[in-house]
Amino acid sequence: MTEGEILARDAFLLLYELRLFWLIVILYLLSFFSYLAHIFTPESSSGQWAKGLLSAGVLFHTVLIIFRTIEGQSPPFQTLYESLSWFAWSSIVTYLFISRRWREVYLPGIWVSGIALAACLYALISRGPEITPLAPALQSQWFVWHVVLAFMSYAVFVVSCANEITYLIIYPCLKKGIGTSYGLLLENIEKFHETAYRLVLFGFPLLTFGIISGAAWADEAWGRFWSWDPKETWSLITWTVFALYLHAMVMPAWRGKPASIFNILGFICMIMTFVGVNWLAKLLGIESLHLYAI
Amino acid sequence: MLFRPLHCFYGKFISLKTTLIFLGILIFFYLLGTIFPQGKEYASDGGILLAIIKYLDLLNLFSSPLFLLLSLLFFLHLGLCTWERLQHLWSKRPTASLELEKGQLVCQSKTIMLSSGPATSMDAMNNIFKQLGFRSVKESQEGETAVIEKGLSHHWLSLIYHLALFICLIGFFITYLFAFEGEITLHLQQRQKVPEPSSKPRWITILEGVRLNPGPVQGLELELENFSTEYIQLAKLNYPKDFLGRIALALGFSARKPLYSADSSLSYFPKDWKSHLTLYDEGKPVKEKAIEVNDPLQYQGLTFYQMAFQQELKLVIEANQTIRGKETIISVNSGEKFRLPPLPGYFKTSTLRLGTLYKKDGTKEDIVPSAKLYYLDPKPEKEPVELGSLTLNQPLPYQGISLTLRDYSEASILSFRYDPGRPWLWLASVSLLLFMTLRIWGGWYRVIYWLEREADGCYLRYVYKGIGLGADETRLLTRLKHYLTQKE
Repeated sequence: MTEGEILARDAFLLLYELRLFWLIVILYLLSFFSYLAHIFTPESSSGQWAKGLLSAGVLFHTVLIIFRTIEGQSPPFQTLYESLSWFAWSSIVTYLFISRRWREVYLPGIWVSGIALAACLYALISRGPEITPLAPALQSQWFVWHVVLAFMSYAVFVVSCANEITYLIIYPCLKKGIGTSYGLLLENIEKFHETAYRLVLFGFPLLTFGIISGAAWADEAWGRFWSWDPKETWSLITWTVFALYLHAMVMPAWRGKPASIFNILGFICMIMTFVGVNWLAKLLGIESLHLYAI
Repeated sequence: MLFRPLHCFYGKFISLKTTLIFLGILIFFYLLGTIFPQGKEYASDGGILLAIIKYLDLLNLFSSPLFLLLSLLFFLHLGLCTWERLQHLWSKRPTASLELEKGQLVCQSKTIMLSSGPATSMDAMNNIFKQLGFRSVKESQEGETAVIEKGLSHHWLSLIYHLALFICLIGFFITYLFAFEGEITLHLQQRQKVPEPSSKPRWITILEGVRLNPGPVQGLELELENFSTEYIQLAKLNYPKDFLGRIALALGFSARKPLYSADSSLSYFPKDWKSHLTLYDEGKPVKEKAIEVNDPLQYQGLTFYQMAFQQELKLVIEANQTIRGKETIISVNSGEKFRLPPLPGYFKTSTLRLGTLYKKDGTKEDIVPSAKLYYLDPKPEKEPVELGSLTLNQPLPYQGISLTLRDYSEASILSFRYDPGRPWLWLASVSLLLFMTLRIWGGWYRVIYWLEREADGCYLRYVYKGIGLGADETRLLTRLKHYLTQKE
């Protein structure tokens, strides 16, 4: 193929990839609104519709990710555009997997679909979709492991936070005898709440691996395993907040609301580590070694 | 008199509540460190919070005495907590009799009815649990009650990964005190002595005046045999920046050019740069390696990293265009500003492109060395103006003069580092991860069980405890019932 033909092919593929991504966003948007409708009409089938639309969206999203991987011949999380897409996809997959056990509970879906939708819209509206080759700093055997496992932990923390918020909202209602039509009852609410804790338990070693592999990679590439770079420090903050949460959960006095707040704080820190730190670095004029991820 | 308050303080110091307080304070410090960026670069770059930061001296927060003291206290706390736990586990003796333990837990026990058959004896039950992977921990004297366990002890796993965290902190302290680093610029085919490190180990700085050998750099020399750069051809994307434009493009309403077109400007994306090095120790070659980013050279605890490269360009202004009537040769470093004598103002060049280019069509070619020439506007807010491309031995006319790139030379910039804390950190972090994962994802079971014979049959009564995500009571019961059915 000549250069011109290759460019024409790339343009064609990228255009259809973008159209597919917009279709996915529309499905997530419809799902999000159906979840919202579920709040007001819990008896109706809006929850099922929401989950169905979310499943359809994630199915197309899987196709998009496979397509992008083949097209770029590299893992699809090099740029922030790709990372946001990957983050949204992994969060929804994790949520759908976890929700198999709580088939009648749709409330956490509002948060998960909302976060995934926001991530996808951010990617589509403000980032460039071009496929770029791997920069020399990213050409390492650590790259795939570091990113995949860190993002797995992110996805798990998103779902955990969604369950935690649902618990914090619904539990006082159930105690007052209202909100029983959302699939949760006083008898099973604690079991549901435990999933948030178990999810953090599952994600914590993954996050630990993410940090350790990142340090090992930094040591190999930059000659220093730790530079107190904003991204590194925020990942350490996230880790410490979740460590605080896990320790608080074994103290009877801290179990419940105080620990739940740490879980939500951990989620906020995780979002800061992922995207917020770039914004903070720009705002405060801080130099970051991780600026290639912006 | 003093013993009691000290004991009380010690008890509080090693409590879980203190752990939470320590973690909370550490988070606060980390937050300060990200809001107030660390390092001298920020001061020279002039960030917007510079005045406040300078006043409070927050640029070296993580080396400040307060943070070091906090780290030391946390280190002590972690060490003592681990020690206490170790002592507790080591001296673990059967404190209460099994019958007493059974009596305390009987209200939590669950029951399975056993049909009459071979499974209704303790021996048979012991065998079934053995087949399920359990091991006997203790048994009452008459053999009526048994305690069995399965999986790796969560107490020990937890202890080991806390110990690993403790060793991690030791590694950090070793790095903090003994690590040093430096920089070396290597020119092609030149053997160069590895210089003294630019930063002394902190322990030497702390004990100022003590002149000791800072590390194993003496007698080491490096030679750059070859330096190569590689690029990939990258097409510029013709993509709208505004929201509506992007939606219009997706919907097919946009009349814009295709995303990539044949006239798209093709740029160079750096693929790799490599330095082929030979390391000499006391004059003898000891190691040869082509290093690149992510692939350093290691020798006796010292690691050499590919950091950057430097290019010196020789620009020539022809004789008839200079005041003195002589050819003028100007040596400039790419990316740095310089003057072109007859002309006012400052200029700079881009990075000199040379090496191998991997093209979109799968072929590769040698790049003809070239760099872009820019005029720097005196107003700093204005973007540099591109004046053209300086290609090797091809004159570039500009404002009555003709500028030629006559020659160039390259140098590779390496950083080197000696860090004796690294092996500790490797050992500790791998152990931390392994044992933490086993503790959290694995499953540990403890079951106390006994048989009770009632008028309507025999019952298995058990008290279950499962720790870890892998411990699943339902799964265990299903498997137990399966074995019980088989026996019958």
